[in-house]
Amino acid sequence: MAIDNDSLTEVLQLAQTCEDVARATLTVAQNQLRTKLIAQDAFDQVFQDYGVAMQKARDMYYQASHGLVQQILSSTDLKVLVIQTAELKAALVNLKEAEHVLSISVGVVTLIASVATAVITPSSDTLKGAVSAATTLKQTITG
Amino acid sequence: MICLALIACMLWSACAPSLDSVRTTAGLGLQLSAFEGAFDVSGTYCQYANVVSQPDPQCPSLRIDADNWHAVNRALTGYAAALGAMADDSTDRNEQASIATALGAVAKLDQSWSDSLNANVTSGVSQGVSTLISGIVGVYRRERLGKTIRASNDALQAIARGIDANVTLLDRAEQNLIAQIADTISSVQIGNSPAADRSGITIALSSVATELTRHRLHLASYKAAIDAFAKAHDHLRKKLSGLGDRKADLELLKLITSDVVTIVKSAKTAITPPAP
Repeated sequence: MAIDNDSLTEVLQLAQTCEDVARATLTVAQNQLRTKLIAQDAFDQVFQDYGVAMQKARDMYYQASHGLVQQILSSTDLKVLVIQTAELKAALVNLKEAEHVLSISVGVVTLIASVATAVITPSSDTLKGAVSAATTLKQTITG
Repeated sequence: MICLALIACMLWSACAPSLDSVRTTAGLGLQLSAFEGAFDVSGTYCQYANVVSQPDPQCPSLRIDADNWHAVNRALTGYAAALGAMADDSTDRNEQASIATALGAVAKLDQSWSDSLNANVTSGVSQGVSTLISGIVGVYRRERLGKTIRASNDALQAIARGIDANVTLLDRAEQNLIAQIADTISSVQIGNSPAADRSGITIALSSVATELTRHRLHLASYKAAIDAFAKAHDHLRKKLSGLGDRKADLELLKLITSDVVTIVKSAKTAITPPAP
């Protein structure tokens, strides 16, 4: 079963949004390091998390053209995940000062790894896991 | 580059009788020879990805596919040369016939594909290559032209889809890496390492990013070149009855030229730099 272009575009967009979330988190940490709100070692931890998250996003690009992706595209969980991830990106862009940037950073890695797992091995469980990770991250961001 | 090649092709074929559209299409296909190594990404891309994180799981797959993509490119170029030779069979010694024969002999796919792409896509590419090779062999006479174009069109479209899919995959991955390099540079700049370290790392990373950007441009050009060839060939297939007629051929040539210009323009706009 071949994957159609619209479906492929949708999954690629999800991967791109995940990447944007990782980059937005790093930007928050960079701003905090610049204004000395966090120490270098805390920033280093965020930076390492960022590297892992970007690798996971890259994995999604590779896997996005697989026929397997077709199985999850009609899933309502995926639609929820797309919306939630976009909202997280917006929330992070507006986040100027956050004392809990390390928690957010870990949450971002968990989210993107979960989304990558859902894209690479799509099933109801892996998608629910990704949605759950997005919900947890949202709670972490909003406190 | 493609536009210039197209104009050169048109000028070259201006005196020939009523097969200019075929010669132009063949000229577009011959441009693909410049992209035989376009998917050889084990250099900068995989090395950098391996250094900054754990070894990239995709790189072994990309290496497996590299030889196949070389063969695909040879089949495309050989087929284009065969088209050109069939459209111009009046000379005793036809250079394009020799090129087609030589490329056809080295265009066979010897290895199975990795699972990087949808199996349907790679299967279409493999079948497409063997169909094109069957069009390359034999004598290069105008009588074969219509039949060959008809028999090869679906194969060519399937190969174009495969190349497009692989370009999309690699382009996204490279864009991701370029973004990561930009973020690494900005992180180094605000860190507490000595100024000399910051400068040195920034210079080194910038050169890697430049190389990746150059490769993205190369991929975009490859996509434009194969799309232009496939589209022109598709027009030939649809207008086979007009081949040989000067007026119909001229109309077809205009259509092909217009499409090529559009494809090249859209390829340029498709390359967008990653967000800062």
